[in-house]
Amino acid sequence: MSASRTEATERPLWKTLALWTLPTLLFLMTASLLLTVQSLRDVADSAYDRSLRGAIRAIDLRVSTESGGLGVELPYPLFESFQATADGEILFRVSTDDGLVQIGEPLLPPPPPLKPEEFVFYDATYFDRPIRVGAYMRPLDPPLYGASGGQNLVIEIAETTESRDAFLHTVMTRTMLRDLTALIAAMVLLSLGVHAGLRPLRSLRDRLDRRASDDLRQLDPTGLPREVQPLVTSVNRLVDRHRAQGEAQRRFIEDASHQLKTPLAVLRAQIDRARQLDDTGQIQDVLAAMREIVDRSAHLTSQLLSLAHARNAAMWIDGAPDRVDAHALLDSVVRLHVGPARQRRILLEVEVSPEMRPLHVPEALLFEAVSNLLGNAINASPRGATIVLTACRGRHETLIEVRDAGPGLSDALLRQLASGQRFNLAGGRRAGTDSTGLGLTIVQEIMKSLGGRAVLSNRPEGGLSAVLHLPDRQERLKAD
Amino acid sequence: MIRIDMMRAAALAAPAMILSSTIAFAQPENPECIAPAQPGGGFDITCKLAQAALTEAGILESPLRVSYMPGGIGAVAYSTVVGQRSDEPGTIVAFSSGSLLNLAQGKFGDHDENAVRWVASIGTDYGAVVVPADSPWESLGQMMDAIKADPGSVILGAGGTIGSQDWMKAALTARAAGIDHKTMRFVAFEGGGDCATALQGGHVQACMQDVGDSQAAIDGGAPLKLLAIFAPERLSGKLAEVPTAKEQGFDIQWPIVRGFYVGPDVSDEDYAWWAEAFQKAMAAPGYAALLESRNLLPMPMTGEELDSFVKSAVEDYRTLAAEFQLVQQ
Amino acid sequence: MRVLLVEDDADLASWLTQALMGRGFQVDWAEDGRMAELRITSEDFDVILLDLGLPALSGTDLLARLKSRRNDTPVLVMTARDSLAQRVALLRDGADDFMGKPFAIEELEVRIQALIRRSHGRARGIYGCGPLQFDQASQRFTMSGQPLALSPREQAVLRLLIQKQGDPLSKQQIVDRLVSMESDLNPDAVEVIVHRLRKKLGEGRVQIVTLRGVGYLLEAEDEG
Repeated sequence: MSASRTEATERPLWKTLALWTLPTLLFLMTASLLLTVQSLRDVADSAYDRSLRGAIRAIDLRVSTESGGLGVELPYPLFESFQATADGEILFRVSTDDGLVQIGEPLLPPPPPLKPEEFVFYDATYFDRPIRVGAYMRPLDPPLYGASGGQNLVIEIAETTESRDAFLHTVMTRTMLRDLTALIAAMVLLSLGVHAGLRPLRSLRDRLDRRASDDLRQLDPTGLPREVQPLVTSVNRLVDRHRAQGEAQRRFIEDASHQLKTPLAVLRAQIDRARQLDDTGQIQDVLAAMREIVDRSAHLTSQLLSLAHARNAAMWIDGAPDRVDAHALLDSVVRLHVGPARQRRILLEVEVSPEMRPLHVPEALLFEAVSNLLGNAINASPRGATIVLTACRGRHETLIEVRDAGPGLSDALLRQLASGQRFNLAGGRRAGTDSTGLGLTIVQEIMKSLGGRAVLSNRPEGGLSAVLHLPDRQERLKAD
Repeated sequence: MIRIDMMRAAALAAPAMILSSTIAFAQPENPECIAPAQPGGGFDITCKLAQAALTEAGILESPLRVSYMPGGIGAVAYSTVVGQRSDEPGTIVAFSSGSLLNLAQGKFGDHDENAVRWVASIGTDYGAVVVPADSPWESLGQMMDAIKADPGSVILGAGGTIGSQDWMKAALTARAAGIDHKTMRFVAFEGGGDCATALQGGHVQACMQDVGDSQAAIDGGAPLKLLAIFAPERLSGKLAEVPTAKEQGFDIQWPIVRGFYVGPDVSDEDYAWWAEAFQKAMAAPGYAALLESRNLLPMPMTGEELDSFVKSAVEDYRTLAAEFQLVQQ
Repeated sequence: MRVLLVEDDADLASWLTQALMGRGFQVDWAEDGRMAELRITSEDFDVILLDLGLPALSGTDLLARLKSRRNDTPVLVMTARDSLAQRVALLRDGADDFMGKPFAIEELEVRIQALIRRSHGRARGIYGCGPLQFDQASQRFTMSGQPLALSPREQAVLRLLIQKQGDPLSKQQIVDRLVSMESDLNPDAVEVIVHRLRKKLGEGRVQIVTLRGVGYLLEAEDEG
């Protein structure tokens, strides 16, 4: 079970949700806040600027050069009317751009470069106070004292913006608090919701924790959220598979131990019998019989080991299987069996269709399956017969067939194999059926582990057709 | 008969001839005194004093016209006279020590002290600190403390921008009080008149001005009071109530000479006429009273004497300006 | 015929030695791989019976060392390990034959004799397949003692087949092996050559068998 793995990355769901939503929400909040403040500031500025513009014009009107000099009517009365609508202090400066005349607050920061007849507005600081300044320059025509170059009049009016800043600060604070409260409320509701939604899962977890380690009953999915149902179904399927496998293994061990112990008992009996005998000839007979038993048992042992190996290998099949060339595989299997086949003058033939694709399966296992089938076919075929091995493509699968001209299999056995039943070792105990049956069981095991199946049938013209169906990799992955 | 007429005419003409023989040339037409500031300030008083003195002494038949040409505490007027009205014989322009200070800093444009012809000085004034009558400050020290505590809260007014004599008074006082003069906040006006108005409006808390124009305003009914006078010792008369800055622990004196100049192209004869005219006017018996009523002290200099006084004063001011890092050119 | 038995199980070694000696073989016994290597390098044997899974030097390592020394002695590997993959790998590594335990002693004897016969033949440069013989020295084929007339190409193909008896050769494999001498040989040409060879071999005991999809096999009827 993969319980240990999930525990390592365990994190409350609400934390995951929070991690996803919180940064985005915060970002959105901050962005909207900044936008609000910025637009408010722009609005405030434009209002300020409008009034500053008006004041500048008003002062402009009060500038008189009739005397030949530059005189400015004191703008304080004007400012007083201003002050009524404004919250800050109003400052002014009137000067000529050659610096000869300067009236007003001389310590105002110098304006940026001005173009004639142009109003410029900007923020600055005056004695540590923030101010908004409007500046305006116009040519003096005629210039004062007959100055040769162009002479310009510069009018600057500034208003302290503490009130504006305080206002903006208030807005910002209030908006932030409002958004923060909403955020916290949302988080709380979210976590409550998640908590409530997951309660059935928690009760399920408790139930599972209380189970005995070998309890393989199905999980009860009632009351669980819909999203989790598929998970529970998959877990139940896994549990079923494991249970079935456990049972099959138990059966196998029982059968195998019976199969192996019986010949040993027979041998024991034979030895005891031989020791009783005096006649060399009789002893030789017993010894011959013993040899037969030993041979059979050796073969059976070998096959049981193969079967165990096939089952074992199936468990370790993982991500990156080999790329098997079907033609090369069939060729190697044939070469392995050429000797015994030719001893009985049996012809072995290989046909591979041109549309064959590489197979993504562990080569050794497929090799063993085909080799087993071929071995059975050679044993079953009469002298001089032909055995054909073919590989071709089906619909989303590869088919490998071994056709022989032997007697085929009994209908009963065929039915048993077709129904997916494991070959029951306790059944037939005659020499041929045993090894054939066990070999076929091995083939079935292997095909199961490769995600395919073995289909056996008697051919109408006589002989057995054993077809291995290997689904393509994607199909196999889907089936998982 | 003709002989009798001619003798009569000669007899009649004699005093005129005597008179006119004492003044080498005829008086200029359209005599005008330019006060290079807004009305009500020191320059205004200077011109009006000249107006009164010349008329009382009988030197001018038609009274001296006073006109105003504000701008740069005399900078505009200086440049205008030098540039456009350099040879007008009837135009005199008021100046004060403050003008000389500005000249020393190069604030009168391209022109220096040699660009005009210095005619006469008619009196001297002293700098003063003026506050509203209901101001909480009773002494210069209190005012300085207030500035020390919160520099931005006390707005000083001055008849001139940074570097002007009014500003200099404040700077000197601040220096004496241990305040960095650069942290002072003040507003520049074109002359003491505007400053006094602002003071009354509450837009500034104190004005650095001259005794002459401040006292004139007070006499005129303005609710102001003098906090200190930058004189070596107390003045006489009603001004004796006002303590000097020195008394209050600020050893600063700021005498202000007031006088007149004419354009550089005015003829020698006209220049001499004006010099003589002032000499006579200041020698007249009623002159002292005129001075007193304007709270001024005598300082009669004309012609060469004034010229050299001006030149040396400008030199002194140059040094002072350097101390305060004020020189621009 | 001298046999070196490399086997670590004393019981099996003892019984096997007795059985083989009863059949007329001369058997020497080495208990582990190191001993075996020493004896092989100092003495000549006709065949080596090698058990895998020996202490000191594993059977596969011994095989590898023998091959690297270019030792031609045929090696028959005995092992209880039965996996097909291992079997194929062993044959590839240089074992000449393979028997799984337990085995019948008659089977063992037959295989040993076949191995010896083949290696002697190879050593003398004589290959035989039933009545057909090829003498490497004279580069001549004889059928029942009579010389066989063959074109150079036919001779080359038949020689390959007789040298690789028991191993089917595909057309492509023949082409690859003969490419040095015949630059324009292709699978179709090979088919034609085999057809002509069959004619020359006639209906006798020696036949070239076609295993369709696998290759050609030279066989004599009596064998097997």
